[in-house]
Amino acid sequence: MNTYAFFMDHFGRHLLRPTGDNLVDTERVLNMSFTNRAGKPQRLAAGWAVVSPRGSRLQLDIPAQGIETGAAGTRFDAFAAALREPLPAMLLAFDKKPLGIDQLFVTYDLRSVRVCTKDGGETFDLAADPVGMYHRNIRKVMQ
Amino acid sequence: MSKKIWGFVMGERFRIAAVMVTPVIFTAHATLDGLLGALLFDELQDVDAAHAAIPLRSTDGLFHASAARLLAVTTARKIGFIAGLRASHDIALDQIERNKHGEPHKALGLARRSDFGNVANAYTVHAATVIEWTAEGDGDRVIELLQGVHAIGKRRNAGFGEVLNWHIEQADDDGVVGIDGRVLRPIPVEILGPGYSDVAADAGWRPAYWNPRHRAACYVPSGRIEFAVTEEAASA
Repeated sequence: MNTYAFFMDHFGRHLLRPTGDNLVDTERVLNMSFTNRAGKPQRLAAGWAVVSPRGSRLQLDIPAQGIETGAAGTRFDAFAAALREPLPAMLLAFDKKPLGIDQLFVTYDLRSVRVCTKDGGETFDLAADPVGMYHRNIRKVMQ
Repeated sequence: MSKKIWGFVMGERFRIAAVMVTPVIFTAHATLDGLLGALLFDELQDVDAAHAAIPLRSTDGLFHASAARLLAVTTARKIGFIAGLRASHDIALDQIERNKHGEPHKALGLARRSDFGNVANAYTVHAATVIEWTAEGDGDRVIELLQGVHAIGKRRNAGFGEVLNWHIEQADDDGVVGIDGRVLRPIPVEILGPGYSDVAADAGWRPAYWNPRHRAACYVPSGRIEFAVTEEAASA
């Protein structure tokens, strides 16, 4: 399955009506404004999301059906929990600027975990000695 | 079938080696079909025509061409670059978001560069003696295309990836799966099927590798970098 089909099937289609072009729809989801439960507009520009066939989770508290929104925990808690379950999963960390479509990657294997960030992400072998910030903190949570 | 290439009688399976002068920067798997596709694009200026002209065997869009293997690597380290737009250069207005009056949101000037300012990039640089690929196809045409290539990888204009010369010789594998059963390039899991111990990752598997539509769950080669054993390390 293509990266964007995965994103739309397990996440995006719960947030907008798909047009059938997964690439275009994915870009719209990443850049669109949602209305949070307080009635204010908010984009996917803070917090985290985990996209998974077993149920996707979003920290942002917006009304949506089919995914868990307003999920509790830090991004490291959420990513560690996702990596304890069977893969695949997409680990998304939002930070001010929206993620670009070329920054989305699905993690299929613990030997090549990818946390997607606006700067391109961090890729690591979960069992190896931590080097990057996400790897180090996820390992801390998992210990 | 065999044929004569550069004075040697060659089969259709061949090994291409680039003898390197300077360290190289690869940000992806750097497959031979990707390299040849880029060269042919320069010549033909058409993406589809360039990919159709790649002189390598392909099966269902998958080229029989390996990812780059870096041999005798002595160092691997991060290096940073600063890329900046020059405020004194003209930028087409259609490349800049505009307000309701049709004017750019931000003025780009020497005093106010704001969003158009510098961007920091970090790459991993490998100092390798040789970079090699194996493939199946028309070796004559491949070496002909590569003879004019004097640098490969990213940041060539900064002196990285300079090639001294190219060599071709006969090979045993087809550039897809090695004789040890390990994958030599990104191959979609759907094509290869289950049962492989190689790492699975989200990767581009056919050119154009920059096109996100060409990404899928793939088995990818790992351990493609062979570090040189230094005297110091060997005696440790």
